[in-house]
Amino acid sequence: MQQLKQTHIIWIVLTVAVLLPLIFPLKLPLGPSPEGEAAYSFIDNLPQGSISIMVLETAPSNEGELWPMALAVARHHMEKQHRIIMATFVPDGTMYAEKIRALAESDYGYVYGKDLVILPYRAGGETALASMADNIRAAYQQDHYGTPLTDYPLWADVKSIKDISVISCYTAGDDHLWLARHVWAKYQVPCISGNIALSTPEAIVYFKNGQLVGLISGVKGAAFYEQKINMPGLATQSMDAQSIGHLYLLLLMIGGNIVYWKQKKDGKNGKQGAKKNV
Amino acid sequence: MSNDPKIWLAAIMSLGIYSYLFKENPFFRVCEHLYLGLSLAHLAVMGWTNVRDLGLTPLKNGQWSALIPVVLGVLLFARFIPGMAWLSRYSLAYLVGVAAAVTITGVIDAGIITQIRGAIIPLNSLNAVFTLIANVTAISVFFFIIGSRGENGSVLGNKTFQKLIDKSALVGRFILMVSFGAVFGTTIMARLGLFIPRLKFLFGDWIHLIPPVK
Repeated sequence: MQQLKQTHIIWIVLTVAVLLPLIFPLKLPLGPSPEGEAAYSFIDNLPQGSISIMVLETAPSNEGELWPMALAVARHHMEKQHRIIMATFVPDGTMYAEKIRALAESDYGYVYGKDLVILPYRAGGETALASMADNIRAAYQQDHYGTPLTDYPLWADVKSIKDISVISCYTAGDDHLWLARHVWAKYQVPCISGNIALSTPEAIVYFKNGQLVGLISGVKGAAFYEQKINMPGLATQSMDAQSIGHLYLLLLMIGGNIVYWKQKKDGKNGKQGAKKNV
Repeated sequence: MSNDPKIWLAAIMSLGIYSYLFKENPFFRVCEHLYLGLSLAHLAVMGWTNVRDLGLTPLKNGQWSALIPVVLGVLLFARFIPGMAWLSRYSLAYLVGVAAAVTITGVIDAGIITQIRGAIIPLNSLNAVFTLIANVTAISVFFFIIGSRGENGSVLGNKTFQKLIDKSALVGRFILMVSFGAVFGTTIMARLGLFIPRLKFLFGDWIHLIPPVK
């Protein structure tokens, strides 16, 4: 019962620690992100009218991390007047593509078919992405709404994957590996990965080896990108809460270890007692 | 507070799921079952949409090549018919074959050769030297044959070499611990990344305590 109460206190304090900075922002400074900076610079240097593909592998279960970064990159593309093709290999992805379309049309005057196209959901994951890379025109004949893609002026400029200036993915899975395997290794089309923080230790190796031209990692990466484009949004709002949450968990770990070592040293409960409390 | 009944419903469901942190209770059970039911329904609809859009509609339009994946898909269900279960192996063999073919072609270059090339860097900075030490020592942790001690000593019989490998493996273990720590840290970051948007929904969209962001 005692342990159960401790757990409750831990949860309650965590909730308060995370909630307060959301209500009263602290505006804590953001650390540098060389991989985010690389992604920003690459997109920023693309000429007007470049065609980019955004692979939205976003779903409600991961939108907290992925949606802010996808939105920030989409806004950056729109600011620079790049043309955007949105694709997805998860069923929920088209829902987010439609949100970006709405934003593009209302805030940036984009015209569907000319400046932006939504490709339909394709099952198959890596196989689907590989087929898109090998022959994009064979892989897709219609858009998300069932209209033949040949009806759109944007599609006339896409003969193969080599006509794409950059492909970015927003994923909680292994899409960054798929991009490195099927897009970069075979066709040398620049790729950017936006992934959940959990995948960063693996994905960063691909960035360091030059297989990804940029990497946006978790909420921090998204907040960094929002700062770069001068549009603080969902991720920037979350960063104070994230930092305070981390600090709290760090204190819990340090405190837990001190208690553990103290108990062991004092020999109050003996070896077994110390183990039981871990 | 929000006047939108959809937001109220989502907020009540969220609270129901979080109530498990206090203790198991009937409210949590209701929300859990609703969530599972909705997820399964979503999955079923998506499955049917795939079959309809990628299989049945092309067939209806005269694209007979769609018959091959449809037949292979139907054969997967042969597993449930005792005398015909072997038929499903053709579909499975096809699936495994395609997956292996697609993956292997990219993995050799992107996952092996480029990674090795990336690890071979000029030793002109402290970072490069550390990377080399970290790579060599971490790999030596997995030198089971050379480092293993049988009753008569090491497999190679060279005790000096074995000692060297053992020491390297010891350092490598620390390097691996650091990398596991990094993974643990990013896991915490990811989990908070899930928790924070829910709080923003509850205290922002629902009770309007957190200012909205575009």
